[in-house]
Amino acid sequence: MIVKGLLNVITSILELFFSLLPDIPEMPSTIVSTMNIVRNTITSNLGLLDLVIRPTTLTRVIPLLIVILNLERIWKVLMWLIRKIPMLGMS
Amino acid sequence: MKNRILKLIICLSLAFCSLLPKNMIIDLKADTPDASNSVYLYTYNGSTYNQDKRSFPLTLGQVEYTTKSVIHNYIVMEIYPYEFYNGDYLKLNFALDILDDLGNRRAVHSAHFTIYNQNDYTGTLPYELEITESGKNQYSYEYRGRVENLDKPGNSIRIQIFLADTTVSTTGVKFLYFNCDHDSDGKTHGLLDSIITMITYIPTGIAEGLSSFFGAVVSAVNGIGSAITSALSSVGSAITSALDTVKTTLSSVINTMSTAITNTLNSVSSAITTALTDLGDFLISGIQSLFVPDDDFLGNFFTDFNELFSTQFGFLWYPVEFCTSFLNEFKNKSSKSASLKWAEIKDPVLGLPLIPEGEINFTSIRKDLDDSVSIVGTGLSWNTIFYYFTDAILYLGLIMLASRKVKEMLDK
Repeated sequence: MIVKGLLNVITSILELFFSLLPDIPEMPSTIVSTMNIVRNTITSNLGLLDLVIRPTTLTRVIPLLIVILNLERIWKVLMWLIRKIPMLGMS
Repeated sequence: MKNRILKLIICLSLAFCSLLPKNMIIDLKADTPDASNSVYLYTYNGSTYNQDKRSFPLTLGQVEYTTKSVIHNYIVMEIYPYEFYNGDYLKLNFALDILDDLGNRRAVHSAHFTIYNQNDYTGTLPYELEITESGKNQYSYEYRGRVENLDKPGNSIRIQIFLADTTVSTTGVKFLYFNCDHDSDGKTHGLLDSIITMITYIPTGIAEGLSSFFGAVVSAVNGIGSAITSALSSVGSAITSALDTVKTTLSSVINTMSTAITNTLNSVSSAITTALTDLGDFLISGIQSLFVPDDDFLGNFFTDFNELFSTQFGFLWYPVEFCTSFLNEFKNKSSKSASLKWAEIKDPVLGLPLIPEGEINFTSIRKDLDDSVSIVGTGLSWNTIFYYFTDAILYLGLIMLASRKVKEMLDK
């Protein structure tokens, strides 16, 4: 409920802030289609990774890698949340 | 009461009289070929008689019969026990001791029994007594037979003793008359017999009466004993049954109480456990709902968040969308085949194709390698071994990276 409330508050603040700013135009369609071709070329050849790495290993390692690289930030956010709980007495 | 005592005395007297020995008459005779030269001497109970024929009132005793030295073919003795009738059963016990002139004991061949009535022949007992015993000092004999074919009732029995050796003179005969019983068929034979029968049967009746009375007393006592025993047995059975019933009831009650107590304790325990579990679940779910938002909320939040930023930032948000779509493609890549594909490349000015679309598939190559090459003894292919190797490198790298990150965080 706390996280939910915080996220709602953040969303509301951002919506309020963005409403004051003008919308930036979208990416041109030609560039988007070209990037899609590049992306499709890359993703359609991801099967080549199977020759050297197990696909399930990749699906496990990549989230862990993201968490480890951002471990300090996650820790700070987590501790900030915990300190907000008065019954734990960590404020 | 006096009459009963008087009757009892009379009956006892008659019974005592019936037990006295009956007077029986024995007549000893010697049938000799030369009777004129014979002198018969009878000795009975210490008295000596020299009569040719003499009747003695005998019960049990010994009669000695002495003659001159004459040759005897047989010796006749006559007994007068009582009257005999057809159907009477006789049992005669007697003993003989016959000596010759030299004093040696003589053998007896057989005995023949004839019934007389006042010296009149009435009939012969049906069977002769074959003498088979020998070598004894004194021959004892027993005759058993039923009286038959009598012309009239007899009152004497003539026992004709045939000697084995008829050439030897006999000097003396000793006759021991032991007993002569008869079993009447129950017929009445005149006033005397009736009196005798009555005297005989009265004690028997008294005895039967007393026997019946004592039998009745014994039966009554036995009946009382049986009744008491039966009653005690019934009481015992009833007590045992009652105790069994009480025991069964108590056991049932105890079992019921035990079951009820056990069920109650189980219910209390179950209720406490359920309450604690519910409380724990409530606290956990409360804390979880306090910190962790549900999945739908997060999904919708990120969708709305992405939509907001995409609308607001336009092309500036496109790299994020590109990375997101790339990661989604990477996430769903497990079904992709191990192949190298490329799209068609055209001339951007003229639109002519420069490089056509193509694909190089490595799946068959890897399969051929796996089928042809394997490590002996493990059953693992080279590709599988390579997978283990790369997995180990990746997980080891993650661990080293995590340890370095944690160290940096702790140092700060």
